[in-house]
Amino acid sequence: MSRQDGRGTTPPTGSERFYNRIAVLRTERGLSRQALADAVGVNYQTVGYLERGDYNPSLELAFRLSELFGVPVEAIFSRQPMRPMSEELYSRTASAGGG
Amino acid sequence: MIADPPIRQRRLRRPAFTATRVTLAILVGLLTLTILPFGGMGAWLIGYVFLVLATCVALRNARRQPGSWLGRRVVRRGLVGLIAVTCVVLVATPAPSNTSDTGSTGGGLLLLVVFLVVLNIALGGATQRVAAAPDSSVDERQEAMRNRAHRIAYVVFAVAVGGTAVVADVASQQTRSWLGWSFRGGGLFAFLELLFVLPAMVLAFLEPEFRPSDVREVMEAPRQSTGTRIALTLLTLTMGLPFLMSVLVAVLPPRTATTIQAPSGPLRQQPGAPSATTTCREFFARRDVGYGVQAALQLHAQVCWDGRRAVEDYGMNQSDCHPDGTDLVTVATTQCTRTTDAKGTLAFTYRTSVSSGLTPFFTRQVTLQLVVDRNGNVLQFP
Repeated sequence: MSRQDGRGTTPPTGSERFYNRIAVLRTERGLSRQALADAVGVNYQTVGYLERGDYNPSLELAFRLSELFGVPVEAIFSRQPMRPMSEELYSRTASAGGG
Repeated sequence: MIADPPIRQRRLRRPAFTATRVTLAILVGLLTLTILPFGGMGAWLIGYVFLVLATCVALRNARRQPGSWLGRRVVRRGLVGLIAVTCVVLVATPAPSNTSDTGSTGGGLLLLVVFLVVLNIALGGATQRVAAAPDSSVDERQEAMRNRAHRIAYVVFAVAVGGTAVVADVASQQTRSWLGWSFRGGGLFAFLELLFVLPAMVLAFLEPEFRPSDVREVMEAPRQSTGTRIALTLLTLTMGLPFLMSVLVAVLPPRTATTIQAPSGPLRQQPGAPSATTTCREFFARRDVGYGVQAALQLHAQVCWDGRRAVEDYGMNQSDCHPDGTDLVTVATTQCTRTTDAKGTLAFTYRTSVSSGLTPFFTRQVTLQLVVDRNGNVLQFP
């Protein structure tokens, strides 16, 4: 997921931008940024860059986050702006109940 | 629930080959090549070098708080600017030669390199040494930053250093000559500095400012440990001391010692020399300016008088007008005269301009003057 062209930490723009729920998932689990950083093996500042969408992680790091949070990668990252989890959850419940 | 993933923990290890270690090696080499052969630079300079080494050790062992003042963007860019300016000054500093100002040039060069070492240490702390870190010591974002900094630094180095060398080599004989002496002097250190530290400079310059949210958790911890306070104190002392001592050259009252005694040797027999009724005295004056960064100027002359005129027996020729000793300063003789007026009064004047190699804009005029009338009255000394 990271850009491998070497431009490094230039904030992704336009079609390069990924949206994520890392901050929500981290807060739900009561993790500090430092704890999350230690758990996935990155610098704590990198967590801030990830949460703001200023840095797109590599596939390896994305899967590490997925494994840590216990949710699929697509539940953490998206190319579209994320809807609130509660909204997404209720819409699924409603569609399941209605179907 | 949090899963229990098999995560590879990356521990930040200290890299074996860093800009800091390279510059320390340069410093040790410089000490070996500069201080030992020339000697006489004063015990304080050796003490200062030990202070630098202690500062390096303290900074390396201090617990650095990411997001603290040293990592602020304005501080990082300030460090980059200071290093760039120091490199420019180094390029303009010739190699020590076997002339009378050897100690001055060599000492100034040494001070600049010591200053550069301290700046490099601070830069390493400000960038958390990411620029020189191996892959195993950085995460993927830092790795991308580091690689980008190295790419940019490569281009900047090639254009700045390579371009300058090529242009200087083909432009004229003068620039070719400059290229030669520069690389035998401070230019060599500037070259090595840019070769090894430019990526860290690029990184420090480009890395964005920390977001408050990125550092909040860290800032909640005690801000400074005792080790950090000691390191910051030593850093301030190390960086401020050379400037302080350089300024002292201009502001510290000079220390003067004078002696007047009977001639220790036989008078010279020369045309116009005094007759048997002549009285002679030997005048010796020494004036020290500055402390540590200092110059010792001396006036030594033998004067004779016979009631009609005062004449010199020896001393204060052009060859006498040079400093007795210099430590890290440049002494330029602006006046060296010996005159006898119509009343038979003899005046020796030795006037110099003293400036530190580190702060050449602080200049002090030092004058040693001896005035003796025809009856042997000392009107001024010094």
